[in-house]
Amino acid sequence: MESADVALRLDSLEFGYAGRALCEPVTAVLEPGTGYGIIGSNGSGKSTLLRTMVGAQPMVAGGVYYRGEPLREADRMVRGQVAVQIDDGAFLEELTVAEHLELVARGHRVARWERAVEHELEFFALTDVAEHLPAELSSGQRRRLLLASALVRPASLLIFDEPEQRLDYQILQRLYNRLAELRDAHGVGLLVVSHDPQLIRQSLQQVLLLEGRSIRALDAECGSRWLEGRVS
Amino acid sequence: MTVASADFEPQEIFKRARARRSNQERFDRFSDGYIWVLAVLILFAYVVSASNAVLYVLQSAAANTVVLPTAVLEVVQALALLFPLLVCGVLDLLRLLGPCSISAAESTWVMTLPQRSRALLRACRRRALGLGAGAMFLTWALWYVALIASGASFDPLTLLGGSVAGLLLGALLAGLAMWAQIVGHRTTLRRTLRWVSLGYLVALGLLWLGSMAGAGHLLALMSSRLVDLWAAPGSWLLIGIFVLLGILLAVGPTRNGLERISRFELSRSGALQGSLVAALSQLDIRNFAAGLGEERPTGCKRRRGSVARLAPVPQILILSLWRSARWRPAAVLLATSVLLFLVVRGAANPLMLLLMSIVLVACVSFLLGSCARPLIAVPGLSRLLGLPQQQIRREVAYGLLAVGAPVVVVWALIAPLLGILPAGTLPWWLVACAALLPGIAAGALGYAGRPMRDWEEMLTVAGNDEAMGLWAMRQLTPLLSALVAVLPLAAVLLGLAPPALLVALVVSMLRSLPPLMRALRT
Repeated sequence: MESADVALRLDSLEFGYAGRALCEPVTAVLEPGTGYGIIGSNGSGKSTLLRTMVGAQPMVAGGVYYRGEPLREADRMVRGQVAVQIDDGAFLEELTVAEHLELVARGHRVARWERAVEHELEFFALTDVAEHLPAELSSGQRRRLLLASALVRPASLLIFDEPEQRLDYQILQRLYNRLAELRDAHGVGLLVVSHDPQLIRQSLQQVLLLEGRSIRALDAECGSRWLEGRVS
Repeated sequence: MTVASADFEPQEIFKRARARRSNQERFDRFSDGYIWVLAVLILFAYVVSASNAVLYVLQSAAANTVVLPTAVLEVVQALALLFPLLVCGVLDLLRLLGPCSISAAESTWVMTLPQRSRALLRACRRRALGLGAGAMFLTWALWYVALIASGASFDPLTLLGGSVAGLLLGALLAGLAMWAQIVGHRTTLRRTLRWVSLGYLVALGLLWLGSMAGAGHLLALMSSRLVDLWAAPGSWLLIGIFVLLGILLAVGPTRNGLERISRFELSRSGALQGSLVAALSQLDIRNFAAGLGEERPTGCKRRRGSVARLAPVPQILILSLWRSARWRPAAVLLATSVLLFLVVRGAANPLMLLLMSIVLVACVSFLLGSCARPLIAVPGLSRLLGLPQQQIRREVAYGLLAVGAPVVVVWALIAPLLGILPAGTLPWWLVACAALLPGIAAGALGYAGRPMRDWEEMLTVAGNDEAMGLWAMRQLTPLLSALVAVLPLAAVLLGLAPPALLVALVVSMLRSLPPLMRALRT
């Protein structure tokens, strides 16, 4: 029986396309309150691995378990506890920025949702555009809205695909600090695909390095150095 | 973060957003819906006219009609046999389209909430059932009109009963496709449908062969019974009752099953349906065909075999034709033509041969144009391949001629081999078929370079007849290049004298050779 303390377990997971695995099987365990990164060069299969884990595409073999149960997003408990941000995202064209966040916060039954929404708007510097429609936002603002939607709700596991994309330096610093705080103070698990050594170093503890068909587990420092080109 | 216990329905926020709409926005949305209904009706009218034209040609007692000993079916009988295949086709289309779907935005923002929106899932299910009912009703109506036009007796009660049964059958098919989506067995459904259709065709083929072998006209007998069955209102009433029972059994329980479909799957179906709508509104199937690529396995290694020895341009052209299966519609069209000539009485007439030639030329130039499009229209490809644009164009032109040649050769051989050519026309027939090749290549080149249709441009020139005519001509030029190539063939089949044949040949060459020569010379 799987321990419920383990937030996420990849059990000989094989991922790929049309029944063909891209890499050797992945086995990994993500404890609550720890941060795991997935790194590798372009086309190595990082996003495919992430998409396979959350069920966006079928796995070739193996399994992904969340708190001892197969991870299925159709499961209400999983949707309530796991925040996934893996796409560039589409937006509801008639809802304002604030209403997007209200939808997520109220949908997740956040008690004082007005304050939570206000906090995220401020955190991601979206207060000035709170009443704007998505079509009126820049691509960076859209990105921030997506990230805000993952943090405006309660979650015990956050899954992000390259959260650093299109963000300015200040927001990045605040985001990385926030992720580290969520991990340390609230026991939130983090699973992040990233090319940013700073994110790996600051917010995560371990990384999976996808190289060719092989997968290596490294500590965060080593992973960061690999991304900086200092380690082969 | 504290958690509230109050239940929340996202529709609340959407209603608030809707209430903000201005009158102008409301009117725009209404007119969008109204235009779509109108467009479907107009399209339906055009398809009915086209099918009636085909039926006329099929049944025409034109001169030189050859009655092949293998032709055992009347048109009306062939149509009666077609209905089960149409039902399978509609079910396959619904399976391909989802049928349940949501937008990418709904997938990201609504379907990730712990309590999935009941209103959203209800709407999703309603849309799927509506799609099924609409698709089957239109298919049924088209088929019924063709049945009546080809000689079946008309009865208002049959029309009423059939319409209702068609709508119900569509809802049932949507329910079945929904089940396949819920349990994640859409591929199994596709395979099942292919096997069922193949089994049905093989059974018909065996009956046909039995008729040939002197075991009585089993096929004709069975199809005659089917014609009587489809023409009786009672049959549709019975079908309606059975279908209704099926709906109660199969569609009702899907209400709770939708929760089990992943949001990614629903959103993929939404994207595919969106691309179909875009293709219809553009009158350009390229958008939808691109979306179908999702169905094919990706990422696996593909062998290039001996094609790898070719230069990059012909290699891209051939691999594009092969891997995207664009050769299949042409092969299906050739096979259908042969079947029609062989099995349907009266089909082997010159008018039908001409009609099939026109369809084949239009279809092949469209398919080859789609293959050549990335080579002609993608900016920067010349730099990527390290070849001058002119050389790419020249190689594409040669490639189109080489790829189009086998189709033309097969088409040129079918009629003489079946013995359905008017007597003494074989040499001219072969010359006319050879003239199809430059037409197909020129049409494909034009199609490959044609930009996406700009309807706004059409609206701006709509007030000026001359400008409107020019716009329409520009849109139709590739098709015209291809169709003019059929002129010599028409002259042969209509039995015109050699001088007229020569004129047709010259006109055809004057239209198709210049664009082709320009491409070959550069």
